[in-house]
Amino acid sequence: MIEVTGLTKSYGEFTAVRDLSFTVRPGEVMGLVGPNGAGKTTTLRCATGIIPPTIGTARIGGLDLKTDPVGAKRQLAFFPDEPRLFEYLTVWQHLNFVARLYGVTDWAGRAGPILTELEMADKKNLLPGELSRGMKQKLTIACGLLHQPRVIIFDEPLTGLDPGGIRRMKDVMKRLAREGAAIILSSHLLSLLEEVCTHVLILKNGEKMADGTMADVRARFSGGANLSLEDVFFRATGDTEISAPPPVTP
Amino acid sequence: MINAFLYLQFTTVRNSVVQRFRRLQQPKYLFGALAGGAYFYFFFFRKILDGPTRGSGPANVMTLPADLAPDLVSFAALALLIVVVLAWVIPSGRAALQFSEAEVAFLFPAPVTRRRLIHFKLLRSQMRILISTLFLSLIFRRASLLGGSPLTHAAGWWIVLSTLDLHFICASFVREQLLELGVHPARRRVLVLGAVAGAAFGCWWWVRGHVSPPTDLDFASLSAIVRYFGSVLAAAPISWLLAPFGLMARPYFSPDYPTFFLALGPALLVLVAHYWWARRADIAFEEASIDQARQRAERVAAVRSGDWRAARNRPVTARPVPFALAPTGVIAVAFLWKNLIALGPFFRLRTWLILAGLIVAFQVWAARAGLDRTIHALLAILPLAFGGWLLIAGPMFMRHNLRLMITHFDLLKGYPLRGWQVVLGSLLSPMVILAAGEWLLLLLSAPSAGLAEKTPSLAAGVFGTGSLGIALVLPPLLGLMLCIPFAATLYFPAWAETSGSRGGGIEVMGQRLIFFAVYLLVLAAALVPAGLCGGLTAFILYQLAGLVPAVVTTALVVSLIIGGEFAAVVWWLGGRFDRFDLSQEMPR
Repeated sequence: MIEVTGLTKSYGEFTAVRDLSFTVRPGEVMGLVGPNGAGKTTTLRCATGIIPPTIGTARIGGLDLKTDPVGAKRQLAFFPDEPRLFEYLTVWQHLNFVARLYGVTDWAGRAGPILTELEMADKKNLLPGELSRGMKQKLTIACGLLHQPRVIIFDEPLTGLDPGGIRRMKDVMKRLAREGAAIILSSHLLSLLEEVCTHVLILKNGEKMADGTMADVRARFSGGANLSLEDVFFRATGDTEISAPPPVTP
Repeated sequence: MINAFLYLQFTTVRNSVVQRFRRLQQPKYLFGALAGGAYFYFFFFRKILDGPTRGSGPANVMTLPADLAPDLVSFAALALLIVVVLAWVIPSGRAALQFSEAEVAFLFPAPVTRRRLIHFKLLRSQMRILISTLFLSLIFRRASLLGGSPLTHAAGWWIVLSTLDLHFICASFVREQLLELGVHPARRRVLVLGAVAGAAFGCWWWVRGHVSPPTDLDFASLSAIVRYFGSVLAAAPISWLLAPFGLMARPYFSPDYPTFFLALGPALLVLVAHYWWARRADIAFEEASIDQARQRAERVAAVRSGDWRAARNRPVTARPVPFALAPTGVIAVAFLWKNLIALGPFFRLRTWLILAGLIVAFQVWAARAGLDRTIHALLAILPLAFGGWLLIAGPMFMRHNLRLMITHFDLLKGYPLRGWQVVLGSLLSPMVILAAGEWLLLLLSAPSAGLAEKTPSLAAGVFGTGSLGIALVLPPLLGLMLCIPFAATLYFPAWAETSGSRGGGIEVMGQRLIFFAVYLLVLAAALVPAGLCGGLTAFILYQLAGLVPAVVTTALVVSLIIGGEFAAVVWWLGGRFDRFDLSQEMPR
C-alpha cells in the first residue's frame, strides 16, 4: 500500500506540489494525471524516495520512506519513462546485479520465467545497445519484477513502445494489480488510464483537483452526462475553453 | 554568400564570448576565470607585458647559435613530413569536411555550391587555427631559444597550421577519389608506406655511401648532435624530399625580420598552392560529412555527460563476468562486479597474476644476469616515479567516472541501499584497480632497488619490509584520496558538473587548478594524524626492536588510521548521499 500524507515539495520559493495526500491500496491502480508542470514527476519521485519531500510523509507497505528507506524501497519498483540500463551488462547480468541489490536468493529461478513471459528468453546474453527500445523497456520491467514488489510505480510506461509492446505493458499492469500490487500509473494518455486504472488523481499546479475511483470522479464532474475521462480532465483542471478544433474550410 | 558565412562566424564568436562573460556572474566561473587568468599571467603574459626590463632572465640570455637555424629547419621539415605521411596512411574514413549538425541542417539543403562549402569550412578552420597559433606562440615563447620575435613565431605557426589543415583536407579528397577508383584503404596504405619505405631506403643507401658515420665528437653536446644530424638531413637527396616542408617551417625559425620576410614568400606559395588544390577539388563529401557530424554530436553529448567510454563511439560487446556474483553479501562487491565487467576482460585477477608472475620472473633473471647497478637503479626509480605520479593523478583521473555517477543518482537512490553502501560501491572499483597497479609497480621497483645497493642481502630486508609497508598503506590511502573528488561531486555538484560539461575555456581550466590545489590541501590535512602517529611509532619501535619491526608496525598503524579515516569519510558521504536532493542540487 502507498500512503502519501501532506506532501509538499518546494524549490526555493516555487512550490511544485502542495499538501498532497492520497492512498493506493493493494489491487488498486491509480492513474496520476495532470498538465505539464502539474507536479506529477515530483510526486512520483517523492513517493519512491528518490527526492525527499519538503513537508509530509510517504509510506510504502507501512514503512516510512524517511525513517526506513531501505525497508520501504525493498517493496517498491519504479519504472521511469526512459529505460536506464547499464551499457556493459547483458540482460542476464542486469538481473544478477539487481538480485544482489535486493537480496533475491533464488533470482535465477525467478528470472527465467520472467524473461520467458516477456518474450526475452533468447535475449539474455545481449547488451542494452543490441536491444530495441521496447526490449529495453521489457528489461527494465524484468529487473523491477524480480524482487516481487508490492508497490509499483509507472511513469509514462508506453513511451516509445509499438502496438504489441503497448498491449503487453497493459497486460502486465492488469496482472500485477490482480495479484495484489498497489500501482501508480502516470501518463498523459487518458485512454490508457480509462482502460487500466481503478482510481484517478488529477493534479494541476501542484494541487489536487480531484481523486477517487474512476466512477466517483466521473460522476463529480460530468453533471449527469456520459463524459469521457478526457472531458472530465478538462473540467477538473478548469481548461474548459479547450474544445474540438474548428472544421477545416476548403 | 561569403557574407552569410562571415555573419555566421562573427555572430557565433561574439555570442560565445558574451555568454562566457555573462556566466562570470556565477561564482564557480568567476573564481575559475580568476585562477585561470592568474595562471596565464604568471606563466605566459608577465614576461611579455613587463618587456625587456624584466626580460633579462635566462630565457633571453640563452639562445641557440645562429648557425643551428638551418639544421633546426631540417628537423622541423622531417617532423612535418612524418605528420603528412601519417595523414595519408592512418585515416580510413571517407572524405569528410567537419560540419556541425546545425551546419549540415542549414547549409547542405541551401543553395550553396560545394566550393562555397569548402570556403566556409576553411573560414571556420581559421578561427581554430588562430587560437591554436596564439597558444602555441605563448607556450613555445617561454622556452624559446631561437631568437626571432613573437610576431615571427606567431606567423610561422599560422603558416604551418594553415598549410597542414589544407593538406589534410586535400589528402582526404584524394583518399575519396582513390576509394571511388576501387583502391581500398589497406591497399592505399601499402602503396604509401611502400613509397615512403623506398624513399627512406634510397636515402639511407645514399647516406651510407656519402656521409661519414658519427664520431664521439658528434655526440659531445646537444649542438654537436644537432649539427651532425642536421648535415645528414641537409644533404641531397634527403634535402630535396624535405624541401617543401622546409619552406613551410623556415619563417618560424627566422632569427630576424629580414630573414623572416625572405622566407615568407616561398612559405605562402606552398600555402596558396594547397588552397588552389582544395579549391579545384570536386569531391562529394556531403554524405560522409553528415555521418561525421552525427557521430561528433553523439561524442560531444557523451563527453558533456561525462561518459568518456561512450564518447569513443566504439561498438560495445558482451564481456565475461570477473567472478560469480552471489545473490547476497556485501553490496559494494556488486558494484565492483558491474564495473569490472564494464572495464573489460583485461581487468581481471588472472591478468594481475600473470603480470605479477612476469615481473617476478624478470626480477629473478635480472638478479642472475649480473646487470650493472645503474640499470637496477633505473629499474627501481622509473616504476617508483610512475607509481608516485599515479598515486596523485590516478584519483584525479577517476573523478570523471565519479562525476558520471551524478547522472545515475536517481537510479541509485531508487535502490534499497544505504548511502554509505552506494558510496563504498562507487569507490571500490577505482580503489581496487589503482591499488593493483601500484602493487605491480612496487613489485617491479623494490627488488631492483635492493639489487642496486652494494649489499643486496641487507637491502633485500630493508626494501622488502618497506615495500610490504607501502603495500599495506596503499589501499586505504587510495580510498581516502578517491573520497576527495567524490566529496566534491556530492557537496559541490554544480562545480563538478561544470568541469568538462561546458566545453573548455580559461574558467574551466581555472576550476581544475582550484580543484587540484584543494585536493592536495585536503589530502595533506588528512594525512597529518597518520603521519604523526606513524612517525612516533617508527621512532619508538626503531629504538626498541630495530628497523624491520618498526617499519611493519608503523605501516599497520598508518594503514589503520587512514583506513579509519576512510571509513568515517565513507559514512559521512553516505549521509550526504542519503540527504542529497536531486531536485534542489542539480540544474533542472
